[in-house]
Amino acid sequence: MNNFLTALVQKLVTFLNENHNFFELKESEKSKKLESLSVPVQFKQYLEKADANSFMLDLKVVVQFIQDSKNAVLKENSFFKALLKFITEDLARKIDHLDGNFYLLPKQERVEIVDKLINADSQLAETLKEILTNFTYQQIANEIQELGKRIANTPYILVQSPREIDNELKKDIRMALSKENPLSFPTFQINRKLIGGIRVFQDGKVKDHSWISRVLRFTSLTAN
Amino acid sequence: MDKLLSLGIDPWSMVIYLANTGLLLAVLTYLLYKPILKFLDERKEQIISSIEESQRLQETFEKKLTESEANRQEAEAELKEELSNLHKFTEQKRKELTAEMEEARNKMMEKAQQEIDAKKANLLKEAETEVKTLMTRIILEIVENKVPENVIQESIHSAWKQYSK
Repeated sequence: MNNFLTALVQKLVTFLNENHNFFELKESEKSKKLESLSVPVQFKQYLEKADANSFMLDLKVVVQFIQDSKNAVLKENSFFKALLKFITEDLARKIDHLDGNFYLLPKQERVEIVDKLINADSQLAETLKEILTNFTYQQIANEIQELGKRIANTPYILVQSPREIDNELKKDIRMALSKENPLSFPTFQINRKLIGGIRVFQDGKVKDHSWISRVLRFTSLTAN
Repeated sequence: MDKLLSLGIDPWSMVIYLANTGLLLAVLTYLLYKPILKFLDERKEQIISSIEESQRLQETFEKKLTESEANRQEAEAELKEELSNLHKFTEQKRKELTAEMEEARNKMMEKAQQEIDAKKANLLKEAETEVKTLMTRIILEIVENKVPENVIQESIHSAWKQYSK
């Protein structure tokens, strides 16, 4: 994550250096200027809304985070909210395209798959490819959830299924759950014991639509 | 007098005889008849007094008898009353004891019934648990190993639809 942030900050600072008066422009003019900046749209939206002072303060927090991630205060920070929005929207969709077997493949194959998934050559894109190639799904998910908790107190959401969920359904699930819980990152996990259906954990509460729960409920009822 | 002599009656013999008889009577009267009569009088008096004594005794006896009869009846009445009271008391005690015994018996039966019910419930629960476990194993065996993959995939989709309602 630090590499990505470093690359991102570098790009933003370079852009702002080339556009000294950016923060003094009107919003429509800002949008036009931002067309030339190749960063995720969430950061462009952040820059449109930010002013010079708030940007500098946010930048300070970013630097603190890069130097000492545990002690940086991220709560309700606009820059980090934009980061979280990018991760839970765009990056999450990319992650969802990687099936369960991806992390068992040799590194070369993983690199090839990720190259096709993130079709860009910028330093920013490279850092993202690095994250997807070198870390497991669980590691990435944990990191994102921890970040979400620190920035916006997002709930922990886990979706268990007996088999790998297809990408379309993953997308629908992610969208639906994100509507209820903005900036959250639902994690998908395979649990063969469910047999069928799904089970959703959300901040300590469970909604169990799995077959195993029905079987157990059925046997309890019939025994009574 | 000659006539008497012709008859063989001697007047002087008669007079002697009469004097003799008189003397005899006098002697007898003095020596026999008076004592006897005295004795008889005494005896009569004795008998009379005895009779009177016995009558008096009889009266006393009868009086005593009447008194004792009255006492007996009084005692009998008291005894009857006592018996009646005792009878009532024992009847009451009997009822009380019977009630206590009945209560104790009911409690024991209730306790025994509770124990039986508890044992029965335990046994049923154990049997229920065993049946549940067996049913779960059977169902899981069928569902885990015999359901096609596409059915499982469909179940994920339909479960999501149900969740998002």
